[in-house]
Amino acid sequence: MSTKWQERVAGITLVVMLVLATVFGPWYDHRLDARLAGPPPASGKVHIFHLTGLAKPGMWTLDRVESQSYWRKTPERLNEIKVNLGDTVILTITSSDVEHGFVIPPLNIGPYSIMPGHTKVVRFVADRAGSFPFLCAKVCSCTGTGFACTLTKKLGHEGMTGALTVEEPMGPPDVTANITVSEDKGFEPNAIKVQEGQIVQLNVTSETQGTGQGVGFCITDYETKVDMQGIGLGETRSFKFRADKPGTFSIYSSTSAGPKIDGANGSFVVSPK
Amino acid sequence: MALISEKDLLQSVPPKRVDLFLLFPWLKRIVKLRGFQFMVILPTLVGFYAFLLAGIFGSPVGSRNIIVIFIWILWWFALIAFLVPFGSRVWCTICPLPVIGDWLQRRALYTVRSGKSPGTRNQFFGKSLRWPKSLSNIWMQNIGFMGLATFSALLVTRPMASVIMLGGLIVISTGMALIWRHRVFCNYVCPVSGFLSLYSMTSTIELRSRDKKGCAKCTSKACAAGSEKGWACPWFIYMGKQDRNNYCGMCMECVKSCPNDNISLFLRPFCSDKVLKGYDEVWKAFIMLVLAMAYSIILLGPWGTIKDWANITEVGNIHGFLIYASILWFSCLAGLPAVYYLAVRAGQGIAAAGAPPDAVKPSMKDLFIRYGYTLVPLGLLAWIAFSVPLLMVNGSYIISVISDPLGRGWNLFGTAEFPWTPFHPDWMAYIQVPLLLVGLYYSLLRGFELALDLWGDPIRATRSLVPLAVLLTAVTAGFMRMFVG
Repeated sequence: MSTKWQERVAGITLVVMLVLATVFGPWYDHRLDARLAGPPPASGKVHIFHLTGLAKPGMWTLDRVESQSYWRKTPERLNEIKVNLGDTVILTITSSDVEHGFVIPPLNIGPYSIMPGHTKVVRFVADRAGSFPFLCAKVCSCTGTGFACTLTKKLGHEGMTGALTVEEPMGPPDVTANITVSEDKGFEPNAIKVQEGQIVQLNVTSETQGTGQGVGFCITDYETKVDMQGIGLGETRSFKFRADKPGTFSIYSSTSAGPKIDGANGSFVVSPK
Repeated sequence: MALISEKDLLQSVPPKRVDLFLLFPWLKRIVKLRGFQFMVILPTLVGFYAFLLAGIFGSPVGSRNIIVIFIWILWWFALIAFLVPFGSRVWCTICPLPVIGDWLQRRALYTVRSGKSPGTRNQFFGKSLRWPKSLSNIWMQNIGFMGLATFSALLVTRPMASVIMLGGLIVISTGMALIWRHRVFCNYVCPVSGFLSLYSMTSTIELRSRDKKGCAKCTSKACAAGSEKGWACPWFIYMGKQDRNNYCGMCMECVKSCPNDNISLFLRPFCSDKVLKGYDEVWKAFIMLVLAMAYSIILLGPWGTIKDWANITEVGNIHGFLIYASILWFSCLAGLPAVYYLAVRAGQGIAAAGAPPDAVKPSMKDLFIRYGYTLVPLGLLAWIAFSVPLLMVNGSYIISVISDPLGRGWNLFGTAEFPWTPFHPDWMAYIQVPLLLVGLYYSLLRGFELALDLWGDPIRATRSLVPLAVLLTAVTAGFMRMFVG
């Protein structure tokens, strides 16, 4: 073989090996997701969410937290995961810094210990409609009212909340209520009137960060359906549900969000058919 | 055509040396392959590239990223415990850091290009400038290694820090290759090369000419200048004068280019090279010994405060870090050298007392530099003793990270969730203490041989060595205290 050809063979070998090393990671990631999803279920879709916990600044995120981005970029906070009733949910949960815990109390999922760099895979079928809070089950960093958080203006452990929203596929809403929550006015409007059987869409916008971890929005006796947690300043959280229980129910903030909001009450009135 | 017969070669091999090319002819055939270095460097280069990708795109958690675990635990242990003592600078044969620079200089991946670049019979590209004489020593390597050592806590916990450091070395080596001749980066700048050069003196392997007289008669000096069969020595070595392992990167080009087939790989006794040749090399020995002690204190010792001082990025105690860094640099550059100086000076005084006027009286400079070698075997074995628990305690990370190299939830070989399992920590002291004693034994043995060489008679040689022997024994006892408690 001539010198030129020897060099060509060596060069091609080198390039091929470098290319293989480059594409292996993305290829394996893709293959892993396909494996996790498994065969298509009989009904509903399969959703895979890659959650990463960060003690600083205190959040769950769907962004890939990589070595190169860890120092220079704050990932996007995960406030809500939305799926439809009957869908299969696969959560791969990891931590990029300290040990976290992961729990969705109303669904009896967890608590799981999430060790730094390790991945916990949780798989379940979303068989109940509602908005279910998930949170960190370990005190992983400063708390919202703690001195360190006050000093650094960061949320820390208590910021690690979000909601899994399981929506029942239903038609367009019969009633849409746009509600704002603020420190000085509480819930506005503070009364929502609907008829039994109507589909209600709530759009809750927070105008405050509360005491650090955002505000919540709940309706008594409808908690399994309407329990929005950690709605941050400027954020709007939407939820659609069927008002299937007549009566008068209280609206309240489920998180400690400051005296005025904690004290503010509203009502949710469902007239019988 | 071989000018020297095999019989002559066997007779010319120095005592206590085994010519491995004669013993294993297949080894010589492999080494003489034109593509030998390319073939051995290709896996390390691709692996290293994959590690860099893992360091960039993998988990920021050090214990779950292959770049940290494989480089700072596996590679380090393999290097210090096996490759250097039993393979000299064989790491340099496969080191991926300077290879891009080599290829750019040669404009070839492995074939040879004949030509007339200055001082060679090969064609090189780039500016091919001479490296300044004033920088032709290992001081830059000494300072560079201390700099890395100061921030070692960052390197071993944060993958991105390793990427920046190793990537930076590639950029520097490549840039230097385009400006200066051959491998000046490896010779004078690479922080790893400095300690490889020092501790390769202990190695049981050497690359030498079989017959120095043959080299003297050789008119081509192809080992240094290159030929149509091999590149000019990237390390500026003429094998006719090669008597130490320190600056031979074992690229094997000289084996290919020698027209007399006069260069071979030899097996030899441990610690056969005994001559340090300058203050830069002696200070390297000081630095390595102090760092072995410092790392033992920080990583294995029970003092949380000192650990916190060193761990600047996690703890953020800048004052503590400055105290730690100041003590470290002072100990390396002045503390141990001063104590060593006093010991050598005292030995000189004791040996010279009552000596006849015509007796040999080596200068303080000679004693200071030559006795510096006594720190080499002990230093190497102290590093091995320090690295043993590193592997035994954290080795299980290798098993888990090989299945999940990026810390992304992969499980390539089913071992991703292998738990952290220290391997018989109760055995550590039984391994570390004998290692230290072996180091002390070789330091004293070679020290005595050096003293005999310097003073000429055994009584004065022994006397001159007494203070230094006390110092070396005290250092060994200090390490033992650290390891055993």
